[in-house]
Amino acid sequence: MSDLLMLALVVAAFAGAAVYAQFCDAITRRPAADRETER
Amino acid sequence: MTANGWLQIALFTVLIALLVRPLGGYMTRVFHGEPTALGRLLGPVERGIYRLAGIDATAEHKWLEYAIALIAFNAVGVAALYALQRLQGVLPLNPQNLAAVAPELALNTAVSFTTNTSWQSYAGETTLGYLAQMAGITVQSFLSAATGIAVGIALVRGFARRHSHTIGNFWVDMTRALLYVLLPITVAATLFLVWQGIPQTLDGSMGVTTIEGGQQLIARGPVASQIAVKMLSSDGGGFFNVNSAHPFENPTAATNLLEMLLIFAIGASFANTFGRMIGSERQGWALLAAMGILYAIGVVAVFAAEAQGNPSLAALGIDQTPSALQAGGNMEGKEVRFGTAASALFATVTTDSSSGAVNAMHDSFTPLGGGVLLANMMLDEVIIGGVGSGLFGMLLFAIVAVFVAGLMIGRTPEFVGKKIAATEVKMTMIALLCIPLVILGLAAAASVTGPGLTSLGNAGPHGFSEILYAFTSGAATNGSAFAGLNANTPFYNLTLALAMFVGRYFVIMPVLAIAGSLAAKQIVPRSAGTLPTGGGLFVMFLVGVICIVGGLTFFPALSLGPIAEHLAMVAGRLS
Repeated sequence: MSDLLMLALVVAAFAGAAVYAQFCDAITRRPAADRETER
Repeated sequence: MTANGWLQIALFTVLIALLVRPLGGYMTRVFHGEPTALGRLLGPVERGIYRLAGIDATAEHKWLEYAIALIAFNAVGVAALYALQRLQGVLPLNPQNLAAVAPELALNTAVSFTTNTSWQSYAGETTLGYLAQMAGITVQSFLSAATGIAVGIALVRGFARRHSHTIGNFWVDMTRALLYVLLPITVAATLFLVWQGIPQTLDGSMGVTTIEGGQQLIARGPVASQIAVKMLSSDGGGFFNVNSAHPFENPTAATNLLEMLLIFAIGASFANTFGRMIGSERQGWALLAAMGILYAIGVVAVFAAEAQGNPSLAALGIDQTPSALQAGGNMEGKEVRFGTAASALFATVTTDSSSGAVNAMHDSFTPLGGGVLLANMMLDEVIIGGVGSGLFGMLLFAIVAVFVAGLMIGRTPEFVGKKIAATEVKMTMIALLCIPLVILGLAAAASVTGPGLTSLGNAGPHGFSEILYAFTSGAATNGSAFAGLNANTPFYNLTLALAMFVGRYFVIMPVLAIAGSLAAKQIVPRSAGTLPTGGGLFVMFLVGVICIVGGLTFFPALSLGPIAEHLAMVAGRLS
């Protein structure tokens, strides 16, 4: 397997991790009901 | 089981307990930015690094900024380690003239050490030159451990802060973890290891004439410096193929004890740091007590299983009782120097943490002994765990525990003054579920496909245990090998790299999200309805939650591997 393929895998993996972080961020933006519970 | 064995286990346990408060207090001061004994020496170095790198040490990150900085930093780490391995044939400090590492093996190794896993599909002394070992493997041991500490501290800040939109500065946390925690301890430990006989040289392998007149090459190199940080960082990747079973990696009883202490030192002390930073040391002790109970169960179970020996050998009339001439018990795959007790203790310590260093071959443990080692890793490495990752793993289980307890008593769950709402529970479940998904999914795929099965050294339940152990070790970022499985194939190199990547970053992201969410909340004063989380009842509840979650998730897989093998062995049906 070539270095280029390995590099592509690494870039894809870390890009995936960044997208996953954005996904977590979307969930973390707390809905109003959540804030109400905290109060 | 001998009194000597129990004494060794007790001595190690007491020493770790004594280490917790001083090191926990020191780390608290480091991450609070308070003056420390090393501040006068290292302060200018720290400020120089910030100036050189253009870091504003006073600026803090929101959790997503913290996460993106971490991802970017680790991506560069993988690329650099990959390049060092691929280019080692033309780089200096390669006295054995070792060739470039194959691409998929280089990728596996780069991901392995950047994720603090240290899974090794290669033999160190015959694969990596000194530059790759020093500038690649050793540097990543430092950096991956500092990454874990940074994430752990960020989560602790989430619990400690109120109405804050930031969780710290990733670059500052990394720098302080490296300069004030990892480097000083590593330097001191390296000097001790050199004193005990571990080589530290840039000379190549040494040719010697054996007693029988043959010629032998004895591998050596800059070993001591790598071993010190390998243990302290709970990374565990050996300079030599047989890791800490090699006399140049672990020459004496004193180095064996020190190496185990280094593995647990930061992980155990981190619980105390947590307690101090949230203003209640008692909470830290509660988490450490839960870790301690699980550790005690594990070490007793493994020692008992190994000391009992192999019934199949007993049936053949082979003496396995301890005496002045032999350690006794199941000595297959164990160093005579260490015996069953020190091997069982080391194996428990290494699988409780995310170390992966070994001083005995786990593949040769009894089925129950090996099964406990597997189970230790399957519990998400929360029994002390990795540097930083052990604490945040335990805190995830604490969130599950207070959530379940909240459902049982009909109160909104809260932990150390923070209300645990739907957001935190969702993030916790995502973090906790991705590891079993990867372990069981990839182990199942490897068990039914040609590329997965052709690497096996054994058939039947033991063969399945070898596959299950490999993916568990990878996803739990442990890195120890069960052996008996040829993992240096494109299939295993790539699937294990995937397991390690998901096991590290797909847990860290939700953990940082939880930190950000908690930091923004207010701290709720204790009331009559608050569930006490600093006492014995909560500790036992937490242990129960960990065992039930781990047990329910992995029991079917364990039944097919070590449990089936144990029953076959007891019935005398093991071929």
